[in-house]
Parts: sequence; structure tokens; C-alpha cells
Amino acid sequence: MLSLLPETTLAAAALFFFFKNLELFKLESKKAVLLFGLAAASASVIGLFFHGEFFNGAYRVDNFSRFFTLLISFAYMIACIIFTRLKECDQSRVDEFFFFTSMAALGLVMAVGSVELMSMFIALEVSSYPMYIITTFRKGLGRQFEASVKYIIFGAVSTALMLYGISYIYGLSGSTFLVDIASTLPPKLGNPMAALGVLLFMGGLGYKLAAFPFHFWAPDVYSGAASEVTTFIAALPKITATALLIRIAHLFTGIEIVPLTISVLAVLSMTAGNLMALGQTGLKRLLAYSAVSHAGFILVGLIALGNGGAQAAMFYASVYALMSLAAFMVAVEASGRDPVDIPIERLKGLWRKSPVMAVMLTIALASLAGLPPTAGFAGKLFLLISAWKAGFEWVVIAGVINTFIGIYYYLKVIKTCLVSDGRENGFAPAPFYLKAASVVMAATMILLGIFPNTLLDMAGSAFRALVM
Amino acid sequence: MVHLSWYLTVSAILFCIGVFGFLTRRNIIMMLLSIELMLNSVNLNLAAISHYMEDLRGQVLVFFIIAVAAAEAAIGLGIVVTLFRHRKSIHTDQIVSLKG
Amino acid sequence: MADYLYLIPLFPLIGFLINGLVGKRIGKPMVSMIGCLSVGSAFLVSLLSFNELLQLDPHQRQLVNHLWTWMSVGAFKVEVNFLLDQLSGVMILVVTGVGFLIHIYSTGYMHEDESYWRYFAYLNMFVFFMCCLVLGANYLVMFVGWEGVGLASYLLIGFWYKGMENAEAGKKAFIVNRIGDFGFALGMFLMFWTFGSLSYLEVFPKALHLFEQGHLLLNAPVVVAICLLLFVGATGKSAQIPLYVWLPDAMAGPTPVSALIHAATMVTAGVYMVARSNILYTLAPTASLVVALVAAATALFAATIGILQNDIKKVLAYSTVSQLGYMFIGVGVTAYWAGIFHLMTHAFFKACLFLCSGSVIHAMGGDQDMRNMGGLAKKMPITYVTMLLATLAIAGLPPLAGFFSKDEILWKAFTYPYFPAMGKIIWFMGTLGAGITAFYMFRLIFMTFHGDFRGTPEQAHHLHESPPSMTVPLIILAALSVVGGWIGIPHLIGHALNHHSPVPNLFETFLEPVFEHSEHIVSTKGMIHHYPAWLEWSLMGLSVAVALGGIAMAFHIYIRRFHELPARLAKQYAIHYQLVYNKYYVDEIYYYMFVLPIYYLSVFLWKVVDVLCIDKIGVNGPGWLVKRVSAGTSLIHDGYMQTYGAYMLLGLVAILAFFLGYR
Repeated sequence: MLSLLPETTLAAAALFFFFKNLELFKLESKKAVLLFGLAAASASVIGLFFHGEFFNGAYRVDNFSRFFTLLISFAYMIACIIFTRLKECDQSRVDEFFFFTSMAALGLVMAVGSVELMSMFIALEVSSYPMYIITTFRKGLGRQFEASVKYIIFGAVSTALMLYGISYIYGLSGSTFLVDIASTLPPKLGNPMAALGVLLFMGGLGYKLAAFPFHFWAPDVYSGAASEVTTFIAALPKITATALLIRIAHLFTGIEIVPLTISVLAVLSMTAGNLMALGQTGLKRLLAYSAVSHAGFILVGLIALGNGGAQAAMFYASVYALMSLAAFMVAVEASGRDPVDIPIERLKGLWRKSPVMAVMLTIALASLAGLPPTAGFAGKLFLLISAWKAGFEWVVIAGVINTFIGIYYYLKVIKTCLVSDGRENGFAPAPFYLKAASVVMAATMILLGIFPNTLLDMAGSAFRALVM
Repeated sequence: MVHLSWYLTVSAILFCIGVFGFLTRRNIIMMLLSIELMLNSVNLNLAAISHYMEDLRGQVLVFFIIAVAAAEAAIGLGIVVTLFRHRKSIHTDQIVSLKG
Repeated sequence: MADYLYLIPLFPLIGFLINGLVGKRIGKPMVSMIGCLSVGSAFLVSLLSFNELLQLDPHQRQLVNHLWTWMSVGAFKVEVNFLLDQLSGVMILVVTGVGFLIHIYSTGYMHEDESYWRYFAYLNMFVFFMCCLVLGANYLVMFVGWEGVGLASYLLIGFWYKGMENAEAGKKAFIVNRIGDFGFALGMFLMFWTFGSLSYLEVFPKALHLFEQGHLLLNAPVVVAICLLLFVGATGKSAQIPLYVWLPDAMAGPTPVSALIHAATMVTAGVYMVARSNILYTLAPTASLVVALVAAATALFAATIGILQNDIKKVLAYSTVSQLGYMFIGVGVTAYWAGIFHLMTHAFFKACLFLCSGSVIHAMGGDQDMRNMGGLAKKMPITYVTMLLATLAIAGLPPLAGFFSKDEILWKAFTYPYFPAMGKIIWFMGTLGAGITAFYMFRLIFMTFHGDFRGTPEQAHHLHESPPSMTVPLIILAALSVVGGWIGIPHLIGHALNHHSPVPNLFETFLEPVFEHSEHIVSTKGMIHHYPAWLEWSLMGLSVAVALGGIAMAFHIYIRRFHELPARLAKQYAIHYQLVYNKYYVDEIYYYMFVLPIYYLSVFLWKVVDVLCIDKIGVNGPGWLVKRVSAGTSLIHDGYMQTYGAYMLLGLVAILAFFLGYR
């Protein structure tokens, strides 16, 4: 059963913390979460080499799903490292917190492997509910309940929309297996019901990705939830959403209107996100809007799936998860004293107090901004080149303009953390393992920019598994 | 025998009522109820299609949706209750502090 | 062969890492040692590799250092290669050489700064990216350097972040450069689309091949578009109209930074890029003409603004903009080697001028206003002599460096083979600009070093010559400003000096292999006229005369009549009476013919065009936009769930309508 090792590990983590919560174990939770993070990451590496099909073909473990499992598990590991700091979360509920995050990660991994709509839906719900709950886990009387309500209400609506879409897809294709849908549905796409079904389904995924116009929950949830929670919400679901969108978009390769519609959404998303991020003064809110813009960039990959767009989107999703985790790692360090969002000004003097963190944040933001030679630059370049090759020159122009708009507000943050005017905010010194992790992450962001080919080739072979 | 399109029409109407309710009701519980309505319209769709195609998969999916909707309602109501304890209100007009 | 080219950027990178990460702990002497040593080593390696280049046959002079394949997605393949040929060889020597001198100078200039280590870290980072820009063997590596130097420049302009003005200046530089980079990026995409590659060694031969096969016509729209887009990038980086506005404000940074980044190296990247893409520009004469015209306009325009500035660094900044214009005239009129030649000589004398001004500012305790200076020649003899030499060089007096390079550019403009008539106009603008340059540069000298000291007593007491760490680089750069031009002596003078074995134009001969294809195209497609030797002699004489005229006028106004003038220059009628009283009828004519129109032009350009149009609209525009947009954002994201839901469903309906409606 080695082919289900990553899932088993995450399930074990969830179970462990469930029983830990009943005070059955004596192990310190924060050590345990590090351990499970490492275990999940190693399991996902081992999982790369074992493939198989389960549950009557509803769950497929292949290169494609394992690529994303790898990403999710590594993101989970980094999140676990950040979780050891838990600054804004209620300390008494730490085991519950770890239980829910492990469950959510498990759901995300399961969703990636599902090749059948029903199991995909169940897995997505398994990942969503824990995230709704942990949104409330903030200390004190912040805005966490409001954030959580907004999160769950819009989550539920988008689930309903998505299910409505699934019901039409099921009705028109007679099956919920993607294999069958791929052969029967695409010719019927002129039928409004088919179009509605597909669009509603993709809209539900767009909600997970926080793409325009399904992004409205993101800024409020990001700023209202505890920073650790935001870290999780910002990075992990995006990976799964990318995987599922690639799966779905791939069904409709060759139908002109699908990429065209996605291209419009992509450009709207990157532009809207960027413009809205321009005026933000809160760090988490800024990152939320910037996430909308990055969702747009990921969508660019979907319009040129066959032209290297899929690889580019997969590369970008992985890089984005890394950059966002890095940025939030610093956000968590800076958090703990603000009622709602972390003002960007709080980062003032970070350079003096914690140079390692400042360097990592600088690199992460430069990468988010797409400055060479970081990974974000390479990712954006791949995306835009694939779009150019697919004949979407206007998307490329919009992408380049947006990149340059984005640089403006990212550099504002970089500047703040490199500035100090004597009145600095005390940052508690970060423990050694956190510094080590940030050095590794910073180096990875640079190295992926200089040597992107390894990851890109992996993504390429993963995508080939989907095509076959 | 009632034709499939009747079921689909009824379900579409139900869904639209749900959407309408979601957009107009200011009480979060009512909004959750509207969402339930949308989910039930999905169930109706699935059951009808399943019956029409003589394929049981759709009805199995309905069970899943009912279970999931129940879980969702439980979590949603739980969160609404905590929100109410803190704000003394569950009107969307009152919970607009996160914005901008 | 040349497997060690990567060492050139590697040394500054290591310096940056050490200074950036642990610089705070290792103390100032160690920081300066690492900073200088890393760039010094880069310079040494550059010399070594340059020497290796010289050993080769002139047409084989290309050292390629393949590092790794950066990315390959289908047909898109980019390798990280470094290329050392004659062009990048000259550039890399200038960058590391001048960079090294300025690092040494900085140890003296910055020694009291508390963020000493941060300064050196940024400076090393700059040199690293600049080396990547110069050595990169394809446009993408160049772009990496291009963005990197922009970042370093942004950080260094805002280095003294306590002043609000500096932050604004950094922001301005930043926004303006983004516009330029946007053009550059699009140019790259278009180039990749057209030629299927971004590598110099593939794009240029392919373009040439297509041209020779007749598949690519002269002035093909796509090549013109590529060249113009790339030139948009160059106008941003190299401060040409209309994107020059950031450079004068960039003087808010430390003076050595102004010398290195905003005078000698980074701002010349655009010139280098055009020279590097010479084949494309030669194949697109229209684009070349645009380059030359924009450049000529910039050269004259910036020189005119320079007349009125009282801040010593602002004068030099506008002068840099103007001199960059001359370089672009050179590369625009397809005299690529002349543009690069001026780039090199300019690096010497402008770096020298900036460092001298730094020395003056240092002595003045941070005061940059020339109205407070005067008579510094006695207190600071080394600074005075070096600055005077550099000023003579920039004014274009023989036999100093600036004369040879600027004159060559003007002559090439006069004989512009593609558009001879436009060439004459460009030449005229350039020559006029040269006269103005001589005027305002000597105004700077006279106001700073001559007359009586006009500052406060404390300043007078504090006046001193700078330490050797600062003066030695000055002397070296001044010497280079004198002799640097001798490697590019025009054939005409070469013949005149020695009839039997003419003094060769070493620089042109050296660079020829890089530009020979372009020259071939120009000679077959352009209208080559043969101009008589007396014409070249007389134009040369004319430009010297114009320069001397400018100097004389400056001398007249700022030495002989200085006590009457500063207050009254604005009230020109008073001057008029004064002149009549003194019976300087010649002066009167001068004033009405030259000084007053230029004065008004200068005021107009500076106050109206520069400050009002570009500052208010171009730079404050984005700020206004941000305010509007965030107002809009809070309108949409008002916190109401109903609003969110409505937008979401509305969006969904719109998507559905688009999806179904498209057919």
C-alpha cells in the first residue's frame, strides 16, 4: 500500500492530533507537528514512485496527482514549521488546530487524486470544513467570526453552484467519471446547459483559487483570521485548485471558447487584484489582493495547456505556494499585537532585528513581483511565453503591464522592511530552525529562478501522465 | 410519466429562489437556509436525472450531498452562534467591519 | 577557453553576500576591504580575459562561457552564457575599472555613515548585476542585469531614507524605469516571436541571413517595432526624453553612487544595448532616426536646463542626460563605435566630475548650493585641477578625451548616410548643445572655485582637501579624461600628425569586427557622400570655437561681472541698462541673441515641461491613480455579504453570456 503512503501519513497525523486532543498522548504538540510535517513530506517523495488506481477507478495515483501531492505535502511541512510559532491562535486549542490542518491537507491531497466528480467534491469538502473552523481560532475578540462566516457562506454558495454544475454535467454525459465526460461532453458544449454546467463547476474551483470574480471572500478572510491560519489558506488550496482546473480545462482542449473565456478571466483577475492591492496598508490584505492577481497568472497557463501552459501553471503554482508561505512566515513573526490586519509599517526595522527574515521576505516579494532572477520571474516568463505561443498576445501584454504594476506595491513593502528610523518594533528573535527554514526557502526561490528546469521537467512529465 | 424537463425546471426555479434569497435576506440563518434550498434543487436534479437515465450513481450522490449539507449546516450554525455571542447580531448589516 | 568569465560577476556577488549578511558585525575596515577587493578582483579578471581576447585573431574575438541552460520550454530555450567580445570587453573594463575606483573613493566619502556596510552591499550588488548586463550573451540575461541594476539604483537613491525627498526620488526613478522596462520586455517577446531566439549569437546572424536572402526588407515593420520597443527601455534606463526625469532627482543618493550608477555605468546601459543590437538598428533606419532625433533633442534640451541649476549635482545630472544624448546620437546615426567611444570617455570625465563635486560637497559639509561656494581653488587644489581637466574634457577642447569622442559623433551625424538632411539638423543641435555645455560647465567651475567664498564662516573654517582615498581616484580619472581619447584619434588628425605612418584610430579598428556587418549594410543601402577634408577640419574648428565661445561667455558673466549678475540675471532689463552704461554693445547683442532666449527657454523647459508636465502628471499621476483605485476598491469591497454575492453572481452571468454569445 505504499502508493497511498502520503494520504495515510496525513490521515495518521489527523488521527494522532484527534486522540492527542483527548489527552491520550504526552508528546509535545509542537514537536509532533514538526515531525508529522517532515513525515508527510518524506512520504510524498516516496509516493512519487508508486502508482495505482483505487475505489473503482475514482481515485488515481499517477505522476500528475503525485506531483501535486508532493507540492501540498511540502507546503504542509513548511506550514507546520510556521505553526510551531502560533502567535495569534488560541494556545489551548493547539491540538484541534493541528487536527484540522492535517484533515484539510488530507482533503486537498485526495481532491488532487480524484478522477471522478463525486469523490472530487467530497474531498474538496473535507478540505474546506476544517479551514472554515480554524478561521475562528484567533485569540481574543478579533474579527475572526466575521471572517469565518464570510468564508463559510461563500464557500457554501460556491459549493452549491458547483454541485448544480455537476448535476448538469452528469445529466449530459451520463457519468461522473472524467474519462467518460471527456468523450461525451465536449461536443455538446454549444448546449447552454452544458456550458452552464462546466462554467459553474469551474466557478467553484475559481472560488478555491480566489480568482476574479470569485475572490470576494479572500481579503476579508485573510485579514480577519489569525496569521497562521491565513498562511495555510493562502497557500495550500491554491495548489489543489490549480490541479483540478488543469484537469477540467484539459477535457476541453481544442474547443476555442474555453481558453478564450479563461483568458478574459485571467486578465481581469490579474488586473483587478493588482489595482486593488495598490492602495492597501495592511500586509495580509495586500497579500490577499495580490493572490487574486497571481490566480490570474495561473489561469494564463490554462489557456495554452498544450503549448507548455500546463507545465508553466504547475511551476507557477508551486512557486507561488512557496513565495506565499515565505511571506506569511514573516507575517506570522510580525503578528500578535494587531486587532485585525498587520499594518505594513510594522515591518519597519525588520532588517535590523532579523536580517535573515528580512532577506527572505525581500526575496519572496521580489519573486512575487516577478523580478529576475527569482523563481517568480521564471514562472511568469513561462506562462507568458506559452500564452504568446498559443496566440494570446494581448494576454501577454496585459501580463507584462500587470507585472510592472505589481512591482510597485511589492517594493513598497520591501522598502519598509529595509528602512528603520530608530522607532522600531521589537521582533522576538526567531528560533534557529525557523532561520534555517527561511534560508532554505530563500535559496530555493533563487535557485528555482536560476535552474527552473528540474521542476519544469517534473511538471512536464506530470502533465503527460494526464494526457495519456 | 412526468418528463425530465419538468423536474429540471422545478429544480431551476428552486435554485433561483435560493439565489434570490441569498442575495436579499440579511439574516445569516436565512442565507444558510437559501443555500440549503440551492443544494436541494441540486438533489432534485440528480435524482430526476438518475431516474431518467436508470443509473443509480446520481442517487448515491444525493446521499452524499445530504450528508455534506448537514455537516455544512452544523458548522455554519456553530459559527453563527459564536458570532451572535460576540456581536449580539446576525444581520449582515452589522458585520461589515472587514472591508476595503 | 575563457571558462573563468563567470568570475567577473561572481566576485562582486560574494562581496554583496558577505557585506549584506554579516557586514554589520565585521566592522568598517573589513567591509571596505571586502567591497573594494571583490570589485578589484573582478577588474583583474576582466583585464586577464581582455588580454586573452587580444591574443585572438580580430575576427575570432569572442569568448563564450557557457554556464547552464536556464530554461527550456519547447522551442524556447535560454542559456546562461557570458559573452566577451570587443564591445562587452570595453564595457566590462569601464564598469569594473571605474567601479573599483569609486569603491575606493567611497571608503573615504562614506566613512562616517552608520549604514556603511549596507552601502557597500548595495554597491557590490550593483556591480554584480551590471556585469551580468554587460556580459550576458542573450537579451534575457541582459534583462536580468537590467532589472537588477534598477533595483540597486532604487535602493541607493533612497539610501538616506530619512529624507522624504529621497523616498520620492526613489519612487520617481522606479516608476519611470518601469515604463521603460515594459517596452524592453515587449521588445524581447516580439524578438523571440520573430527570430525564435534571444541569443545575440543567433538573433543577429539570423536577421542578417534573412536580410541577405531578401526575406527581411530594410525597415521591415517588425524590426522597427522591436528596435523602438527596446529603445523605450533605453530611454528609461538611459534618461532620454521623455523618461529622463528621474535622473536629476536621483542625485538624492550619495555622490559616489551618482558617479558610478547615474553617470558612468548604469545609465549607459541603453547605449550599450543599442550598440549591441546594431544589426537590428541598421536594418531599421527609421528606428535609428528616431533614436538620433530623440537623442539630439535630449542633448540640447538637458544642456539648456543645466544653465540655471544652482545645485552642483543637478548641473552634473542634466549634463549627464545631455551627454547620454550625444552617445545616442552616435549609435543612432549608425556610428556605433563613436557612441561607445563617447560612453567610455564620458565614464572617465563624468565620474571624475561627480567625484570632484563629492569632494567639494564633503568639504562644504553637505552643502550642494553653488551660490554658497566660491574661491575653493585655493583650499582644494587637487580637486580644482582634476575637475578643471574633466571640465575641459567635457567641453570638448582638444586634445582631451571629450573632444575626440564628441567631435566624431558630430561629424558622423553630419554625414548621416541614411538621412543626410536630418543629419545636418542633428549636427546643428549637437553643436549648439556643445557650446551650451561648455558654458554651464565653466559656470560651475567659476562659481565653485573662483571668486570669493560665499558660505558661512563655519563652512569656511571647515574647508579642506579630501583624504587620499578620495583624491587618488580623482587623479586617475582626470588623467584618463586627458589621455583616454587618444586611442580614438580621427583618421584626419592621424594623417595630419604623421603623414607617412598615420596615427591609427585604435578604438575604431578594435571594435570594427562587432560592427562590420552593420557598416556593410549602411555602405550598400545608405547614401554615402564623400565630404572634403576641409569640411571636416572646419566643422572640427567650429565645434572648438563654439566651446571656446561658451567658456568665454561663462568667464565674462561669472568672473568679470559676477558681482553684478546673480541678483539681476532675473531682471534682465536692469542688466540691459547696466550693459548700456558700460558700453558693452557686443554684450547687449549677445544677451538678446543668445542669453535671454536661452534663459527663457531654460526657465520654460525646467518649470513648465519638467516640473509641471512630467512631475505632476507623469509621477504624481500614479499616486492619484492609487487613491482613486483604493476608493473604488472600498466601494466594491464594502464588507456586505450581499454586495459580494451580487458581484460574484453578476460575474458568473457575464461569463456565461460571453461563453454562449461568442460564436
